[in-house]
Amino acid sequence: MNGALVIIAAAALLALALGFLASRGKEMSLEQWTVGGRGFGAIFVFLLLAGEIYTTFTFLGGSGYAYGKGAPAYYILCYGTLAYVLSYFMLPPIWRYARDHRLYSQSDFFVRKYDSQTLGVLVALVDIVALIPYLVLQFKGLGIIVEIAGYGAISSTAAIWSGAVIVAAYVMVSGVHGSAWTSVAKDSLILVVVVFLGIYLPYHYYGGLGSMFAAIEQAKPGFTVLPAHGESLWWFSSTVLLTALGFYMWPHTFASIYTAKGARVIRKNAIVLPLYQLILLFVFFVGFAASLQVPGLTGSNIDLALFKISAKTFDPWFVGLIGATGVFTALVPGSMILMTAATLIANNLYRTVNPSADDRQVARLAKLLVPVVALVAVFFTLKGGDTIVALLLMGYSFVTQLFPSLLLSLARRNFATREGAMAGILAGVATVAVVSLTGANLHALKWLPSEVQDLNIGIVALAVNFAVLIVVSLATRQVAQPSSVAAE
Amino acid sequence: LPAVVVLPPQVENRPLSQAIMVHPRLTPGILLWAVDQARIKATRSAFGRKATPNRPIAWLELSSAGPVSSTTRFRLMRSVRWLAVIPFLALVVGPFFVNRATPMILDLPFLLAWIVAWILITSAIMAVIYATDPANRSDEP
Repeated sequence: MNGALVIIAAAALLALALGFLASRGKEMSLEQWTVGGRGFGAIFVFLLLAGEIYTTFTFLGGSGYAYGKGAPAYYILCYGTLAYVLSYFMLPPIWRYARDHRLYSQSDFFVRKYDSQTLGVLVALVDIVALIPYLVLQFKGLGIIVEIAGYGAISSTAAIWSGAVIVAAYVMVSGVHGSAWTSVAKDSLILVVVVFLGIYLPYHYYGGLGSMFAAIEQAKPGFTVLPAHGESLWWFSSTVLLTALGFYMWPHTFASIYTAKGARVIRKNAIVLPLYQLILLFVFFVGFAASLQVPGLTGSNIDLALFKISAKTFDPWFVGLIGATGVFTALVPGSMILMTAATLIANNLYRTVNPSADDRQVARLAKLLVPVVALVAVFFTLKGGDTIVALLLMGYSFVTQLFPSLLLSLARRNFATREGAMAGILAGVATVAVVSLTGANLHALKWLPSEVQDLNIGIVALAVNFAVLIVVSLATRQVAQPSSVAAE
Repeated sequence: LPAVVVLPPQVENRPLSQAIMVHPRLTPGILLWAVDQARIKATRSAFGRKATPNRPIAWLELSSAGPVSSTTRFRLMRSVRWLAVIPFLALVVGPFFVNRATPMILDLPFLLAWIVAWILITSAIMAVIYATDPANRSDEP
């Protein structure tokens, strides 16, 4: 057993221990388990919301994107920032509504606002279809990280199984408390490791940041600016806007709002989170440093850039520490996804079928569903082929389709009717599915100007969604009007 | 508007000269504004009341400080939140004008430096919005 493995194993045990300890002194009712008794202060809410920034996607993908494509990676910094600006205004009313109506999930919110169980089921299904591939992505990342950082001593399959067992175990016991406690360890580790890597590697290999970017500009002219075609300015702006809107639509992020003990806690976070995600800048530096030092990675292998350059530079024990950080970036978001998916199935699917179930039964079922969901995700991780990759690409676009009806429901007089909301979401999701599965994109339409071709295709789905929502709402509104007049 | 006029319950039934002492944030400028607001309402309500002579008409309304402190103040302070539009312009529209590698700023390519700078400014903007948002002064945590 080498030094790296010892550290990775220690990290896994630390996660398990923290996850279990988190439940101490609390009776794990449904409210404690899923939304932390709505009592989290600024720090925990901050860590849960920040948990979304550092998933394996940003850790591996952020550096990989900078390594493989350069400037287009900047979009990750921008959309987070804008999502936090939106969060200041959008989240407090959501939080207040959730507290007043004792909501547990994102689907609950739609059920209440639109007074429709059917809409709730639809939202829950969209959520679950988006969440499972996201969980698979975390497990896949975990496997890659442990295999590389452990110098091949542990196969990725073994790593995935142990990761899944650990996360399922502590989620069953501690719920969202486990996620919060482990995220403390995760964020401390990531701060130290990523900032160090981002500063050290440019200096070690190039003598400084400035000379690194100068060297890159010389070797690959235009690498640090957006290209004229493809991932161009038009792609950049449309993607930033689209992903900023979708950011808080992820059901596990949405539900972590419910854990706050007050609206001010959430608003305060809107000041700090933009600064905090600047740490991603250091992830980019790692990717840029690697682009000239470990060239040759292509396709999905660009995600290995961070580990390739680390293995080339550092002793095994330090690579192990980076690996341990990577393990946490997989486990913490994984735990939130797992818990959210289990809650959605128990609270929004099972309860619709069996309305007499009380909170205690739903809580028990949700906890029992945790290992089941984990198993499904492990199965897809190990067996899933292209389908899961396709689902993954769709996940973000899927949850973004919830945005229009959510936003409208926050208005004092909601323009959207429940039929409109449902039709809009269905139309949007269908558009996303068709576009993703057929691989269609605007580039196929040669007659369009190249600016329009470069737009993120997700804009189309959102536009279809919105149009359908308006038309159907207008149509169903007129039907509803006579009765409301009569009531007055 | 320089500060928030929160007229505390102690102000009730006191003349304006005392209100200044009661409330530390009440600067002359705000006071004038408050008096102005009160006068508009006072002319409306004075008919229904028996105004006492020798007292400023504004006092009439300040004694029931509710409308001044809740509605008008809210509307004015909340207009600060429109600053939140700026980050969207800077990060969605801005890149079209700054998509270049040089000059390097603090060792960063120009486009990246622009983005980083605006993230810092965004945080500052959110801090200003937070500080002026009347919603953060309620008792809710």
